[in-house]
Amino acid sequence: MAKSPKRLLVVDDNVHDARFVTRALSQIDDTLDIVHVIHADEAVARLEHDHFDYVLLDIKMPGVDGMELLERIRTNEGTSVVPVIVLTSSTSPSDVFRSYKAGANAYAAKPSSLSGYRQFAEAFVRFWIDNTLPPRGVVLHQ
Amino acid sequence: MTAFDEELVFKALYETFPDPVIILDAERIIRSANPAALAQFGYAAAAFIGRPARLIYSDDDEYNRRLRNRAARVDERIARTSTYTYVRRDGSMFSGHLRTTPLIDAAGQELALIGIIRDVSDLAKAVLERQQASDMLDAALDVMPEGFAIFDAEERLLVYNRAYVTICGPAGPLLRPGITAEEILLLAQKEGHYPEALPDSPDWQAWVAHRLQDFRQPDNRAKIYRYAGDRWLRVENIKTKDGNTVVLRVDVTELKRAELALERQRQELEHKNEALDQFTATVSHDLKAPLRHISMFSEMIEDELAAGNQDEVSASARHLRDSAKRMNRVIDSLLDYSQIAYQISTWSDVNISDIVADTLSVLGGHAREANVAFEIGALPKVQGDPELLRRLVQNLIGNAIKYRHPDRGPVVRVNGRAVGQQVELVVEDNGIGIDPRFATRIFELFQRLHHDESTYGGTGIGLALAKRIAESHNGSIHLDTDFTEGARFVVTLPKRMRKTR
Repeated sequence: MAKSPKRLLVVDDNVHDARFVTRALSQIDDTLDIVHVIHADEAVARLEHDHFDYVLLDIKMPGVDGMELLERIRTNEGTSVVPVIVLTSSTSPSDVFRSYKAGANAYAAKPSSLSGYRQFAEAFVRFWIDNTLPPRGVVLHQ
Repeated sequence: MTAFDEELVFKALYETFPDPVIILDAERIIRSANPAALAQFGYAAAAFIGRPARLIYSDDDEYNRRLRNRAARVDERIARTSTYTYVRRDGSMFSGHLRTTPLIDAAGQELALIGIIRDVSDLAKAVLERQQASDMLDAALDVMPEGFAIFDAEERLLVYNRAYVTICGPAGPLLRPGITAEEILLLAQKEGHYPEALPDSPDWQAWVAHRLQDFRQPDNRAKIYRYAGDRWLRVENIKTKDGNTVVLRVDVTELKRAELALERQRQELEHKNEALDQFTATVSHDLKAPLRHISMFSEMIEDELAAGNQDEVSASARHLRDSAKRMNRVIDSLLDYSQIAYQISTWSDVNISDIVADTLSVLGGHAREANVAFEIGALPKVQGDPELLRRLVQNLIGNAIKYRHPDRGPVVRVNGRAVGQQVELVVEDNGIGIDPRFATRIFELFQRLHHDESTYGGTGIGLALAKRIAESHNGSIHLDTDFTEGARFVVTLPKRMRKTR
């Protein structure tokens, strides 16, 4: 089965972390088209003009943080059903809770090893790209 | 059947009349008494008839009172004004309500006086007991610390105690039975007795209407209102079955103050807890990120060495070193921040001008390099910790220099002014400014607005530190969002330190 290239927007102020995750994802699925932005405002601008299949979102960012951006994505008609996966350094239950409450589809803590990133990338591709089951409550328009 | 004999009928009536009847002549000598009178006073007819009227009165005073009342023609229909103490033959006494009818001849001369004396001992005793009970109640009410009053169905004051007079404040001395609840309320309101309805407040009428509503249709729930002199009173109005309204006023100032203090403490605690949560979350994030990177890059170096990618190895090594440096900076900042106590222990007179001059010489090299023009106005003197205030000023001026605009010659202005018991220190620049959306967030620990650490370096501690220093001096700091030329920070400090909180 030929895969149609999927587009992923990575929103992370930390260039190292963005590089780690981009590298791991590319190694698992080289058809993935990954765009990295370091600022929430930039993400809003990109989402307005381009189509993305997924958003990978850090929540602790300078200026407008990821939680605010997530809320904005959910209230914006064009992006309200885009799967958003929170990838952040925080493991605090309140951040997990707040993320899901704001409309996150998944939550993962940033790994601190290459194998950790590889596992994350594999899980991401298996669940979100190979598997066409939509997340609960989401209606796909295709 | 015999004809109706009127004389016989009246004689029978006289003989059987249940109340004592005594007939006096003009000289006030007893001329006749019915059997009830003889029985009541305990005399045989022979020992009673022909005696002066004085005989049946308890003493001269009582007899003279009777004579005076007769001359004054008091209203005998009322027991209160026509009751005398009478004495029986055996010396025992009783209260009698006397009603008299004079017999007048054609010339208007009084021939005789018919007196009916009804024994009202039981009644008098009851009245006396009632009076005593009422006096007792009044005395009890007066020593009650709670204000107590009763209004009738027409909202007129019937009964009130001493505490109620005090509680009515300026209306207290004007209280009298008959005054209405609304009059009392308005009298006190005009004199500023209710802080929520001062005479010059626009909605005092609505407030008074609200209070009256609660008086007229009480919902049986006590309310607490603020009164003059920062007193709090629990106000309870109760409608009774007979249409009266009982009002209770309890001074709950101490309770209310305790409650307010508790609420303040609760809020403070909540605030501190939030701050602590925020603090730990931020600290863990900012410490964990470089740590994670160190672990990642060392692993990558391992992989690259195995693969023989020499170029990649040195890049990763550089990143690793940078991450370690960054972590070091975060730890230093954190130690810096935690060393500043929430409450300073040493304070002295501090001249802000001296501090600004020191700061300019410390930052001088950096400022000359950036070609910064300083405009320093008159600056106040305050009390505080000179070292902490120096760091506060240094952080603000340092920021003003750091966030200069690339396209204009940087200007930094420092001014001061006194506002009441406080002084304001204003530091403003014509730099890149701060998005008003982040006016409060910039003071949080490790909050940075700029991603590019190479252009605008720092760990995001400066303003958090400034805020903590201002607060440790019982002051505050805020970003003036109306200022759009650059950034303007306003630090407010008390002129004198309060030694206790």
